[in-house]
Amino acid sequence: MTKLITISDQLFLELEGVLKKKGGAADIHAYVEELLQKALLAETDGIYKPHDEAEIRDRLKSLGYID
Amino acid sequence: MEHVLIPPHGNVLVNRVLSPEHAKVAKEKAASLVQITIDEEQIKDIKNIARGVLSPLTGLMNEADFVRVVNEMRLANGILWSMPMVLDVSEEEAGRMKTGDEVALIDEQKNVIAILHVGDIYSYDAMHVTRQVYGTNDQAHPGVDRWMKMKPLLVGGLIDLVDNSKEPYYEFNLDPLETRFLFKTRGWKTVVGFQTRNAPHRAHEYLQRIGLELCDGLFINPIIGMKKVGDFKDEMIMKTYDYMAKQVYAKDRVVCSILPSRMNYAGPRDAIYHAIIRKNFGCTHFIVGRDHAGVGDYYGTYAAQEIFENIAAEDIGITILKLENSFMCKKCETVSTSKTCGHQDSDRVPPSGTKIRNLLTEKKPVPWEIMRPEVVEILLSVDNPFVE
Repeated sequence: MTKLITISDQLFLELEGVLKKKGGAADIHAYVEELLQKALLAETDGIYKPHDEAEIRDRLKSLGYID
Repeated sequence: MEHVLIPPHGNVLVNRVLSPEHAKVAKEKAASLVQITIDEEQIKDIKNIARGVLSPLTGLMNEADFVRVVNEMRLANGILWSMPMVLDVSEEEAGRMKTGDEVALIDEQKNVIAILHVGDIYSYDAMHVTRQVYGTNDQAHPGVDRWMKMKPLLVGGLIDLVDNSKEPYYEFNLDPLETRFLFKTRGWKTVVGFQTRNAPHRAHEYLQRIGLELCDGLFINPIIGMKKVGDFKDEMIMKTYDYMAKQVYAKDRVVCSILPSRMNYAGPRDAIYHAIIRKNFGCTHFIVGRDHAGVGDYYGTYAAQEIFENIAAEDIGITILKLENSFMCKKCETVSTSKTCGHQDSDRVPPSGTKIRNLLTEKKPVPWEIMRPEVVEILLSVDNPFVE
């Protein structure tokens, strides 16, 4: 579900400045979303047990669910 | 991981199981944190949240979610959810924490189970909750009785699971990542989930067979946890269903794995909750039969089916198979329902739970029309197959 995020005017202007310096036609909203995603991933990356299909397969095999 | 069969509820399979490295750090840190002791059933709740069984929940409910779930069967963000998932604390325990703190949730042997990132600490009206959730304030109802004995405050917040052990029944304790992988490996495009808290009788088997005729696979998912006196012991449920999966049903068409959880006995609301859980396990269909998750006569016979009439298909996201009360008919010479049997009540042998309990308690065999002889043999092999 989409959640609304509010940022301050100051932050908005700072980001606009960064984007103008970088050049290109980047949309500021998309840029903010990208920054947040990166921040969230960086925060949680490696913290939680990764999805390891090989480990899952081995456990299911050892328990006789698959051959 | 790709969602092969059906997306989890809320479209995200929650994972809050700490990696071994971070679990070690958390365990060491826990010694310096405020510690709250939780019981076996609360431990099951915490593990279910962390493993994605209760997606999209990422922790214990804060006040906004709790209030809306109790009153409207929705999370604060509008997602369908019928059962409050909470941790009760005393005034003294609440006094030792505040929003933003990390608190260690420990078991009675002082093992660290999880870290709670404290959100809201709030009061609640137990009478209102039980009226809404169970439809009654009668303390003879086991769910009501539990709420009336809970501590006066609730604390919400994100949880991080430190102890990911899967005992008891390690070999039957698959989490949603594992069941989804298993269903995909078996090539199942449709999977029907079956919720139970009993050893199987003929009517259960009939419903399961209907499910198997309609779907590629059957996921038998017995609730293993706190139940009322007179319910079957967990060990008996697992032994009898292990027999059914290995000796009765078509090979490789059935998976039997436990749902470690208390039994709420919340009838209609439980039916929604149970359907969502099996959706998270990867089921595309879920069987709701006669008096699903009922106790005594608090709910109408088919109330747990009727509740889905007011829920949009896209909100529940799993197909509900509403199946009739079934019985062995001597003239049909098979298990039937009133939809398929044209004979009289006098020709029918309904699977009465009371009759089954009384016979087994007296160490007498249950008639073959009600229960398979091999299942009866397993149940009679112990002194008492029922919770005391």
